Amino acid sequence: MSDRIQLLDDLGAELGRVAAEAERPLARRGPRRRFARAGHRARVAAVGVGVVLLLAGGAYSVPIARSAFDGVFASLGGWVSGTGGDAPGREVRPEDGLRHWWLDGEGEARLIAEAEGVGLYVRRSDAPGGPWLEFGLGDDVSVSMGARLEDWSEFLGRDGIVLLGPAMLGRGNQLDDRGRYPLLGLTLPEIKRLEFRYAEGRPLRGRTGDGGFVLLVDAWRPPLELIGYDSDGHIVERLDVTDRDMSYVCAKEPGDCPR
Amino acid sequence: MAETLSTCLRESARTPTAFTGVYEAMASELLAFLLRRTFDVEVARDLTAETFARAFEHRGRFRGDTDAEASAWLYGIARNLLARYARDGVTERRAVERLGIRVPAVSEDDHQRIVELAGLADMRATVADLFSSLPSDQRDALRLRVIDERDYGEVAATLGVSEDAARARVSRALRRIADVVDMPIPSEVTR
Repeated sequence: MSDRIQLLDDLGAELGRVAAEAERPLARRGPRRRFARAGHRARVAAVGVGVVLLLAGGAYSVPIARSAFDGVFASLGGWVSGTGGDAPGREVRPEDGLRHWWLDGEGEARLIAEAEGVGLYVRRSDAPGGPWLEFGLGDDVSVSMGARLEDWSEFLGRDGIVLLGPAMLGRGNQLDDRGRYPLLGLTLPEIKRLEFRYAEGRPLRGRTGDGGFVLLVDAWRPPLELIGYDSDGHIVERLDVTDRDMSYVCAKEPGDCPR
Repeated sequence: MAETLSTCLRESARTPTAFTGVYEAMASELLAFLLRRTFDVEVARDLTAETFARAFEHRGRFRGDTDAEASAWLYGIARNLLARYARDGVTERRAVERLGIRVPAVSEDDHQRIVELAGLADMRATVADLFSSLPSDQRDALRLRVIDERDYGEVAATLGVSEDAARARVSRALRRIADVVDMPIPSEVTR
């Protein structure tokens, strides 16, 4: 008889769902045309977040369709499912300073994007129901989001740029001393450069990592648009980010924002 | 050693999903704690769910830097709920309902595992030993009141003592057992 107590797993998944719902106002500020999928995305995220720390259930295998590797998964899908493809990014190192509850997890973890010490990490492992994919966000992974690969694929859709969300800076800080917060996400492999445009002032420009990105965005400037370019400078994707205004955080962490 | 529990708890104020780390660290421990004090798996489940629901609602109020402080904060919530259960015989579900948490059912397998988790078999043996070791007047009073579920008038008449004396014997017996096993005394026993 297994030692796992299903009741605790189920209750944990419920709390994970509630926690993800509570986080949704922050994570759901996508463009209006994507709202139809938001409910489903939140549900998948809830299940993922709840289950990532509480792996449970019976073991069975689900074949992964090649179509699951479209969109932002084009650079991750083969590696995650073990059906081919090079491991993205670089291996995780002790000096990355990740929290042990994430670092000690099963499977293989990689750093796929980084900016000024803030990383976007990804881990693949085998789990009941198929390959498991988990994203760790932040400079020491303060938030972890996990789900089966096929659920992620459905959750993330076929958009060229997918925002995973803002992350914490260290333990307890949301902004750095310049009033910036880390914004993390996934991109199509052909997107090599990103431009985050504000309603006013100079845009923020950055390069993508291996299928993902980390941008340190000014919380105090109204956001406008995130644009992804290929290596020739052609626009691949545009994402409306006007409803991702994080200026309210400046009020919570006074002194960090220049105004 | 990293203070994982307190870190997750503090961070959950801003990043709610960090609360899953709190749950993972404390769920089985709190469930066992509550079961050892209620001897009822369903009640312990309800109290566990409400404890975490309240902790989630009030996570922004936690002020502490160590896992010990975080653990004490959670146990404080659990003890408050336990005291209410002991006093009124009801399990609070208000936070669970406010958050819309579906409290899962207890399967037969789970029932067995949870009892094992709490070491209830050992505890039953301890209580049985304590019961046997009570002075005979206290043991008889306790048996009549708790096992036979007589009211105090009947206990007093059977033992040939006043009702106050019967209450005192039951109370002393319960206190003696409760002191050893750290369990609350349900108010319906002492009323």
